[in-house]
Amino acid sequence: MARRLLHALSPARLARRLWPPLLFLAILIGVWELALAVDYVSESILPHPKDIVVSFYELAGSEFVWDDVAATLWEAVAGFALGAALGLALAIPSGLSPIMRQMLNPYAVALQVTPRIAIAPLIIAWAGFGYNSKIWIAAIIAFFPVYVNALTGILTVDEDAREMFRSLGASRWQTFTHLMVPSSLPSMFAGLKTAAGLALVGAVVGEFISAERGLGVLVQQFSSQLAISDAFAVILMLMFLGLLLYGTMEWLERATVFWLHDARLVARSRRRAAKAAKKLARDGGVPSGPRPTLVQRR
Amino acid sequence: MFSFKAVLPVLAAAFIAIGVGCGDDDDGGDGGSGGGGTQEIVYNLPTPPSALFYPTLVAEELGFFEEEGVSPKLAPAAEEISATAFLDNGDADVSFADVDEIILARSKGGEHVSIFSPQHTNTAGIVVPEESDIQDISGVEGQTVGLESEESTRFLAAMLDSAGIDPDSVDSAVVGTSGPLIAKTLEDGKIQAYVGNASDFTALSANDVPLRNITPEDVAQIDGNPLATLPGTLDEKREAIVGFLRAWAKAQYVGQINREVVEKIAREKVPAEWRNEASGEAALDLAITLMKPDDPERIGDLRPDVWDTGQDVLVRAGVIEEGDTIDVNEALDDSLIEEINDWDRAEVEAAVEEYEKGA
Repeated sequence: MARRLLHALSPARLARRLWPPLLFLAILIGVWELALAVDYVSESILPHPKDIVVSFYELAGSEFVWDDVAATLWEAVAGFALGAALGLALAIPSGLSPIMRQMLNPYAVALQVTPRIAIAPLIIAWAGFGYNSKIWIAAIIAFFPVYVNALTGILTVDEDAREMFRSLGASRWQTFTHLMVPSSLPSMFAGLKTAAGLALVGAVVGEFISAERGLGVLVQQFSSQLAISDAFAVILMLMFLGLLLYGTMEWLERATVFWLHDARLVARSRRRAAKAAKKLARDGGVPSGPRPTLVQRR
Repeated sequence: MFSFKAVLPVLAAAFIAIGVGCGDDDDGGDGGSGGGGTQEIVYNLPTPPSALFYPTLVAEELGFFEEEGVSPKLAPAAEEISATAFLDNGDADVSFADVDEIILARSKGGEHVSIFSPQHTNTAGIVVPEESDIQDISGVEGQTVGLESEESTRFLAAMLDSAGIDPDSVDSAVVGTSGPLIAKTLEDGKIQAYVGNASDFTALSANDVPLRNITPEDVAQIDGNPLATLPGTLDEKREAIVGFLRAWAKAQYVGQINREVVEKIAREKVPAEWRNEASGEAALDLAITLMKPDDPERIGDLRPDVWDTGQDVLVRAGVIEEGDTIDVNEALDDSLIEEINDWDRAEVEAAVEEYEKGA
């Protein structure tokens, strides 16, 4: 583990991975500064990048902003978890039963095509002005990608594999847990990654309409006070929060759907083999000592 | 190969979230003072905690809410949600609404009454750039006017009507409340005037975007953000409502006698509003000016004549039909005003002095 981390963080490797995005960032900042220099964009609308960085550090060093970060993060994470739970809870029966699918699908699609910004004020009026309303808005936005991806995953399980499970006499539960769930996980995680970002959007939309605190509140406050570099700095914070949520889902995916990642598959296989060998040695099944190589076995 | 252990944390988080999503909650912090034996009161404001509504900040810091035995809880909501809706669905006990919201709610059969009005000046208005050729509201004929929100359309229509201008002769565009955007659209000449809130005007003026207010005088006098409630709530929570408003009135008085103390408290309570010093100063000055009572002994007094003007404006704008007008005297209940103002000014002054010493 530590060796892998050290390898990933080696300067040469980091430099190789980072130069393309850094080059793009440099070009972007160059164009940005040029636009300001030739007065193509007013400084009151688009501040200098360095001013945003200064604001970011000042805000990060202040005490008050962390309450807002915590509020937005909580709304987004809870909304995501709620939306994901509902999405999965409805996708599974829909995937298993055509009648359930016919029953639920039209409403799931209708919910998706309804502009959520339009119903956000109503949700706040119904769910109240506290965290709940923001969590529900985030959940409603996060629901659909999880639902549709999980459903797609369940419906596209390999027919040959199904046939094999049937021929081996697997029960419905065994088929579900050992075939359908693992097969649909890659698709489910694709939905979860999309939903994580969308939940943050939902939380901020809710904060724009009614909230005492949160990064959405700060963006509005700074914007109306013409503290525009501060507003951009808060947007930068929101971006980092979005990346954090996405990264967490990515990590969870790598840990759960390990068979899609060669390195993790090999590592896990090694760990399992070592564990099995240790158990056998403990039980006296095979003599301990160096494991035979593939050539030796042949 | 697949293990449920891996997805257990996700499922656990999801179930916790469902529990949270379905439970009671509160994102409040500074709005409440808590404490045993106090009566809770939920009040709705159009902003999060802000120097624009400094009395809540001051009342909490100087212990006025505690003195009155109330524990207030803020329910903030932007213009997208009608302030009277919070009363209707029981989310708030009292709500700082607009005059037109209350009149409209009553004209549709609502029982909303106004019991307190802290701002004896309109918080909404219309402005033009300082150097503009437009001198008064009649000058906007044939021009494009930027709007704070779609809701401002009826306000603009009323002002145009009062000047005898056909509303169809004026174009409008919703610009929003973002200061930089308002400044840019005015500067680019995409709009020639802007209808919005006084707090937006002052922030712009404080940041080198000089503006001139051309709001017609009768409209400018309409109260900003009078407090509404429902008769049932008033009967049920009369004591808490009076306590809350008495604490508010004391704090409003502090703003009239000692700006420095209010600024100190506002800086502490809402530091984000002071990131731009000029905007923070301007917002506080505006709030204190807007909350200057006509009669210092009757803070929050209700003025039926101003409400009549407000109703006329709505009728002229076609927002309500002539036959649907209300008796404004029925919409105003000033029976609490004396009780709300029944406190010793000297004691409040002493509390301010003590705070200054402590600070």
